[in-house]
Amino acid sequence: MTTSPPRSGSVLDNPRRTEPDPGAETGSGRSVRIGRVIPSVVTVAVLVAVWQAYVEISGIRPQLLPSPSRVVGQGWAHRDEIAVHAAATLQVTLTGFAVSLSLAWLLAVVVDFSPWLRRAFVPLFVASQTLPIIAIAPLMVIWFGFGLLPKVLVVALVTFFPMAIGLIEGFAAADREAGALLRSMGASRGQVFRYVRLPSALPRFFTALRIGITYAVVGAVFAEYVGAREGLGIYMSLQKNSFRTDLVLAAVLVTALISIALYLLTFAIERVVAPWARAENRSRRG
Amino acid sequence: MSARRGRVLAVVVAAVAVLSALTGCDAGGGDDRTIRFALDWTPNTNHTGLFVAQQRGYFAEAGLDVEILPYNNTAVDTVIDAGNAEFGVSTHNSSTFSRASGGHTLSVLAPLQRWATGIGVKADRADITRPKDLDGKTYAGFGDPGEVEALQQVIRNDGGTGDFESVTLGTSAYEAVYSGRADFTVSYLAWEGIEAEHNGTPMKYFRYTDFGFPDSYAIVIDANEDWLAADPDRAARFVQALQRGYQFAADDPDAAAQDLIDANPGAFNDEKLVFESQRMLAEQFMKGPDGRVGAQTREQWAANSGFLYEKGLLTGPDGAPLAQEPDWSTYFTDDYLSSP
Repeated sequence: MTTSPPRSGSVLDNPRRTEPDPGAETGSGRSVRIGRVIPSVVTVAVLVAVWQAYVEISGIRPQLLPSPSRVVGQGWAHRDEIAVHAAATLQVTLTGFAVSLSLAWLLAVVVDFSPWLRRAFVPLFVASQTLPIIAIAPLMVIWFGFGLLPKVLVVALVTFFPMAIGLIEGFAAADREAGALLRSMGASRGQVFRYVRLPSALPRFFTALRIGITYAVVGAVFAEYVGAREGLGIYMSLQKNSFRTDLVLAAVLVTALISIALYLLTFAIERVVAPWARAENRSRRG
Repeated sequence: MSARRGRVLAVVVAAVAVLSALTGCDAGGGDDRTIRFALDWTPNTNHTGLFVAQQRGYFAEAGLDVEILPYNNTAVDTVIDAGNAEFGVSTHNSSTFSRASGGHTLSVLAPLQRWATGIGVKADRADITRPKDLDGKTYAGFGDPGEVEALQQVIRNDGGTGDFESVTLGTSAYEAVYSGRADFTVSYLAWEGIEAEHNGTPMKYFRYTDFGFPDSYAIVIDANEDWLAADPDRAARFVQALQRGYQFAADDPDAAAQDLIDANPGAFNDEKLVFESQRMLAEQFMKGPDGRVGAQTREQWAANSGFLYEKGLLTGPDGAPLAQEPDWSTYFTDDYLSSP
């Protein structure tokens, strides 16, 4: 425990003592190095330029492939309408994700304390991932109507697994020796969990959170596609039937932006909740 | 630096090549010998004429090789417009929206001459006896442009306000009404209507035309107009073989229903429904005033599509609402039908 190799929960280190790490920032806030985002900006810019050029040179009709400028322009022109649908989608996403997050924490902690329950639950978690959502979602509408509930359930179903498994494995990966040391000093099982297993699980949890939150928005859009009063899924479906490919893609763009914003938000939360996790995730990413 | 620029250029060129390959679709692409026909739904009696022509060899007689593309989630008019099918089943409304927005689709045959749908509510709903009663209720819809506006108009024509809650459900819409989660939907009288009877959830219907709404072609066959222009002779042979199939379905519904069942083994759990449905279509919906099937008139196009235009629902290729009413005679053609 003197050195801190990657993945030691670094419990016995001062969690606040993360060395500044120039040039290796992962995103969020003031410390983003311009140099780190340039490659992705350039890639996106090149792709968009190619797309725009192709549309202009080939003269392909906008119903088949609208140019990026038209997608953005028409999206902006219809911004009021899109904003209403985006707000509905965001509500479904966040509600569903909150349910999923609470359940994942609750069950992962329970499973960590009881090997018997682990054997009982984990296969069910895996099974939840094997359900074809495309078949289940329409049934949920019939069972639960078309309010928030069925859509929240679809989002929860899609996002629960990566977070639960991330937490369970994170708890299990805690440093055995640190746990043994605390036990020898008379710590209870609960204290070991609190001081060793919980902190060491957080890096994996945040990785899982990032996977989950990006699934959540797509899950919400899909749930709407099956049945809803409003939402980006409904908007896309309506515009598809009106042959407005540009507005379909504008809604796709908004969906992507919401996903990216939520993804970046996880880094901000991580910085506050578990500063040591960032250093560790970084070192794991190399 | 120049090496890097060369690399970027190479990426750009490669990307353009890939894009061209992906979107590369000349009108009537694919095998030049095959005519591809896109379905709008799982096989049902709106398609009977097509399967009759296939089963009875009308296409083969005309020297045509026809491939039927199964239903998927893409709008049929988009598939046709993109050149991924030569013909397909569309609706009067969808065909109008497609062409107004610049799609190269053209209606060449109308298998059903009238609205074949009605506003459906469960028969035991004593609180809903006329369209006016639908105010404040919940509509289980399909996300079709113009569907809500048409319903509002019918309700207003009956003295209501046209304010109701609309939920887009697609294929779950009927189940939602049967189970009481929604109050009304739009049913094909000759399909979901009969199905509901058979399933013990009888429905009652309000017909658009009973409440001052213009008639429409429930179903039209759309074609890619570039393909039509490039090969008018094969186009005429195809449309006439198809028309012959639909004519047979209107004249001998029982034999035609059997053809539909034979062509789609396993597709129908309730074969009685197919026969009843085909008889109903033949009696009420398929034949024009002279007993022939397939012809269309400018008046009917102007009435129904004109409504969509007046409601400001149609947008042009530039994405802006149409500024002037289109000449509806350019939205369909009877030129490929057999001469009476």
